[in-house]
Amino acid sequence: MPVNYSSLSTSSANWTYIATAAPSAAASFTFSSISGYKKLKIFGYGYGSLASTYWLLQFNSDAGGNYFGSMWGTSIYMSNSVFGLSPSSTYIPVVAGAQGAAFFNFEINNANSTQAYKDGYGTTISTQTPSYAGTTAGIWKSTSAITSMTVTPQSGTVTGNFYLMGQN
Amino acid sequence: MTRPTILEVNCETQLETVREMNDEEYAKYLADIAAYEAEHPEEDGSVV
Repeated sequence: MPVNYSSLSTSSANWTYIATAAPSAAASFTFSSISGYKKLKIFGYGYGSLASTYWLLQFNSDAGGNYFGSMWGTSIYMSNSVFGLSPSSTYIPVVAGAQGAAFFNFEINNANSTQAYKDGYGTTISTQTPSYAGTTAGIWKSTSAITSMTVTPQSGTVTGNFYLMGQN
Repeated sequence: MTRPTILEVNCETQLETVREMNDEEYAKYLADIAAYEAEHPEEDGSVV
């Protein structure tokens, strides 16, 4: 797959606000009809209805094994403090242990590219007892431009305020 | 019991759509809860 990365290395303007999602005991929330941004950033805070669960990020309603993600952090819920997924996982983890207040930030590159895979990285903090702090990274192995992003608790529901920003 | 909702925010129109889970989504949701409770018997399994 030839990728012209020089076309991706250009100066960038400031982040532009796109939309807010405020789920209330929702099984998932989605930002849809996204277009025109080289970078996307999703961030916010909330809490889950169940402890010790992950929040999962997916793009374009793709629930297939097209993701590769991992999470590093400090929590008794993470064996060896590292959570690695297979190269054919079905999501990227963005939050761990979210029954307390959970904050996360995840930034995605090449969002509107139709040549390159989408790679992203972020941070997460949860005040669930014991608290969790970590970093996360992942790849969506698709050359489709991102048109939607969905966050789904691994189980239970999510309540909070989440924001989507874009950059060109 | 009222089913959990699915929230979608359209970034072009800023319109927000909230709907209840359909049968297939709700079945998976309940299965995920059951799997969670099996893995975490010590946790409070209450669902908001």
